[in-house]
This record gives sequence, structure tokens and C-alpha cells, in this order.
Amino acid sequence: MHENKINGIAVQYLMFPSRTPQIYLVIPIFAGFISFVLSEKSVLADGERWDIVHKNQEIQIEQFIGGFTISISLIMAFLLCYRWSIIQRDGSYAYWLTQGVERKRFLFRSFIIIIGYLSLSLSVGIYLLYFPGGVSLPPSAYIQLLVLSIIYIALLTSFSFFISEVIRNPELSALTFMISVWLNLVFNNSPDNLLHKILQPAYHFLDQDIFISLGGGIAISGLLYFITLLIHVNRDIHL
Amino acid sequence: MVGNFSISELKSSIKSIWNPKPITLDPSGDKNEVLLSCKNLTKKFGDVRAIDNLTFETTTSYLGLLGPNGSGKSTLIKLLLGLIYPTSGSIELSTNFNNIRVIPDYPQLPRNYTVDDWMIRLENTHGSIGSNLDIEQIMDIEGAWKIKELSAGQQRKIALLPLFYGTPDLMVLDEPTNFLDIIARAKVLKLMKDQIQFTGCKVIIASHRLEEIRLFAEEVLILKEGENLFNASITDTTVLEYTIRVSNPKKLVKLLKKAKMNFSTDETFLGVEITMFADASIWTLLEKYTQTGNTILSFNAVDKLQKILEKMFNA
Repeated sequence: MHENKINGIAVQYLMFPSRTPQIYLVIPIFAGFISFVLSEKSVLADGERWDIVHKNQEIQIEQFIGGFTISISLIMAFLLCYRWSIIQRDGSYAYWLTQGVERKRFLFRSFIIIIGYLSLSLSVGIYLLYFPGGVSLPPSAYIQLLVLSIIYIALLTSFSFFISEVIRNPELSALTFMISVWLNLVFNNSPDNLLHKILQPAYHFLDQDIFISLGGGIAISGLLYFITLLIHVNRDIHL
Repeated sequence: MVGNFSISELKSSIKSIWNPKPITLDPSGDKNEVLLSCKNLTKKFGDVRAIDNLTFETTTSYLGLLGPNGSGKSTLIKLLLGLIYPTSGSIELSTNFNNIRVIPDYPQLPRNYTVDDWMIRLENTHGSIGSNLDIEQIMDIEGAWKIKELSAGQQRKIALLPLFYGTPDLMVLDEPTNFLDIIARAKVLKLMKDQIQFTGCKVIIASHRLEEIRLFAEEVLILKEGENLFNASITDTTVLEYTIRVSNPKKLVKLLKKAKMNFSTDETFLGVEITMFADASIWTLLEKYTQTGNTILSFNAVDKLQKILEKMFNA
């Protein structure tokens, strides 16, 4: 009980001080929804109208995902990569370790809470797509969109922690993370590509078979998390 | 001791310092259990060997780590807490502790909390303060103050607060009274001593202050440049010699020579320091010295441990 309490207090203080939770919750929704609203629409004559509307919804949703992703990448670069590196250098994390915080629990809790906040933000965002966004998708598509987007969030989160552990300099780790995400968005843009399915799973929400996106995303997130954990528990943390 | 005072007063003061009422420290748990052991422990930071091939084992319940700045005391504490890992060798702290309280030498306190915030969290984590202490009143700090607004000494008092919540079974203290003024230090040391007696916890204390080591430790590990120079029990406080500074050193030296007593002199930045072998006739001699209006400026009794330290660090 004591361990849970102290770990909770430490995570709250070090990783989610003052307005950080609001940043995680609100900004991605705004960014995603603005991208959705500003995306191009086109209307054709009868017969093709439903196809076009349907296709536009797909593009609009992709715009939403794009805006959402870019905003959470920026947030993670500053609030996760940078902060994670800083707290391990300035002695603040070490102090909490001396007060009973456990490294494994701290990492796991931070990881889960960040994914939790962003998943909540995403859920609200998807609801806003439906109302007042006007997007109308089959329930299975919504579910796939939600699940694959959460996988995408987990990928970005685990990658962010991984980069912070490997690159100890806070500014460099934040920059490396942002550049990596940008490279993935810009150069990994062929939807039929296996790498696209694994590293940008949210964009495959209308695929018939999402096994590769789902399984690959979970596997890569898990692997990155595991490597992060190994590095984290075996490194020196200085007071 | 400084200023004019009678020799009988001096003598009884020495007796009370060097034969203090022993604190009844009665730690809980198995007294023969190994508290800490190291085997060929080395820790390097780049080319610097902060700990160099350290090997020892102790079953004491009250361990002191003594040494000058840079001797490796804090590094050893970080190693035993698992904050940093050995370059080679091993270190093992007994695992039978559920409630460890650690006071680092430079704690990075949660600066955005108020004192009250921090105390509430300590209470939620460790339980309430174990005795009827108004900690705020004793520590003399307002609860509404933010930790980042406190002075270094006040922050040090806040850093010590975890010791008093719940019932710790081990305290690990690294220079616990850094930045404290004389009065605060005395209050805090008394509080700590009372808490150790109350809880029966074990103690590992690192300090460069011999009097703090004497207060809390039974066994001391003396470190220099990362190496273990000596293990010693400090329960033996037999005085070996006295060091003294006086207003008229020439007069005292003349008296010592006349009495054919063993002594030596040393020029220090505070003046001439005379070291005399502990002998009952010293008091008569000092009585003679002070009768002619001369004064004693400082007086220090040197026991076996202090002697060892002087030899080691002056070598």
C-alpha cells in the first residue's frame, strides 16, 4: 500500500504537475478537430454522392488522425522525452527513489497514465467527429479506429520513453523524437507498405484485416517498452 | 570551551562529555544479522575511483561512515540504496527492512509543494508522527510556505521530516545536519535520537563530524579516497591525550617541562596548540597555570578513534 501511494505521488509530481493533464487531454482534440474541419470537401452529382461523402469522411478522419498525431508528438517531445531526461539528471527522480519509489512501478505507471489520458482525449475526439462532425461510420469502423489509434498512441509513447532512455540529453532526445515521428509521417506514406501498417496503424481503420496493424503495433510497443525497462532499471540515477 | 573557568569546572565538563549517559538504543530484529556487506566493491566515474576495492561486513545495528570530503561516503550510500551500480564487486544491504527512511546529502525536495502539502503526503505514505511532537513548532516553519521559498537550512529541516513519520526500521542518513545552525542542529539531533530510541530502528549514518558519528554509531567505517582505512568500534572512549590552546603558551610549556610531562606543540592557523598525554597530574598543572591570570582558550580530549583519524589523515 505504501509503495503504491509513494509511487502515485511521485508520478503525479514529476510527470504530471500543474496543467500537464489538461494539455494531454485537450490539445490533441483541438488539433485533430481543427484538422478535420479544415480538410477539403468535394461534392459530385447524384450516384456518386455517397461514395464521395464516404471517401471524404475517410480523408477527414485521416486529417483528424494527422492533426491528433502531430499534436501528441509535440506534447510528448516536451512533456515526456524532455521531462523524463531532465528528472533523471537533476536529482529529483533520485530523491523520490530514496523515499521508496520503485523504478519499474514508476515507469509502468507513467506509461499507463499517459496512454490513458491520450486515449480519453482520442475517445472524445472520435465522438466529436460523429457529433457535431457529422461523420457516419459503421460501428466496426469506429471500433477499429479507436483500437488502432490507441495502438498508435502506445507506439508513440513507448518510442518516446525509449528515446529518452537511450539519448540522455533532454534537448537531443526531444529533437530526435520529433524528427523520427516526422520522418515516419513524411517518408512512410505508402498505405500498402507493411511498415506503414505497423508504424501508422490508425490510418488502416477501414482495412478488412487489421491483424498486422494490431499485432505489429502491440509487438513493437511491447518490445520498445521492454527494452526501455531494461535500460531504466540498470542505469545509475544520480542525486 | 572558551574563556575563564575553573579547572574543576573544566574537569567535570570533560567527564560529562566523555562519559555521557548512554542512550538506550535497543534495535529490533536479529542483532547478529549482517547489516551491510561489501566484497571487492569498486565504483568508477570515468577515471575516478570513488570506491576502490572495498571489502567489509558488519552486524552492528548502528553503523557510521566517517571520512573527509570526497572519501566515498555518499557514493557508498548511493550504492547500498541501489541508485547506482558497482563497476565491479558487490554490495548487499540486509533485505529485512520494510520501512527505510533515507536522508540524502543534497535532497531535491518537491519544491512546488507547501510544507503542509509535503507533510500530508508523508502522513499518507508512512503513517502519522510516532510521538506527540509538534514538528512544525519544533522545526519552526510555517505550513503555508512553499518549499522552494525556504532557505537551505529550512529545506534541510523539511528533508528530515520523513524520519519522524510512521515507524522506520532503518534510517540511512547522509550528512543529516548540513546547513543547520547550531541551535537547530542540537534540536534536530535530539529529535533524531529520541525517534531512534522510540522506534528501535537501525541506523547507517555518513558524516564528517565525529560527534554525530559518536551520537548514533557503535561501529565506524573510516574511508579515505574510496578505500576502507579502518573499522573501529567507538564504544571505547578512553581519553589518550588532551589538546589545548592557551593565552600564554610559553608559560604552559615551561610548566610542562618542569613537571617532565610528555607533550608536543603545533603551529595552527588558530595559534599554538599543545598536546599533552592524558595524566591525572594535568589538572594540578593547569590549576597552577591559571592561577597567574592566564586563560585557556580551547580544550579538547582526544580518544583512540580521534587519534587513529589524526594519524590516518595527516599521513
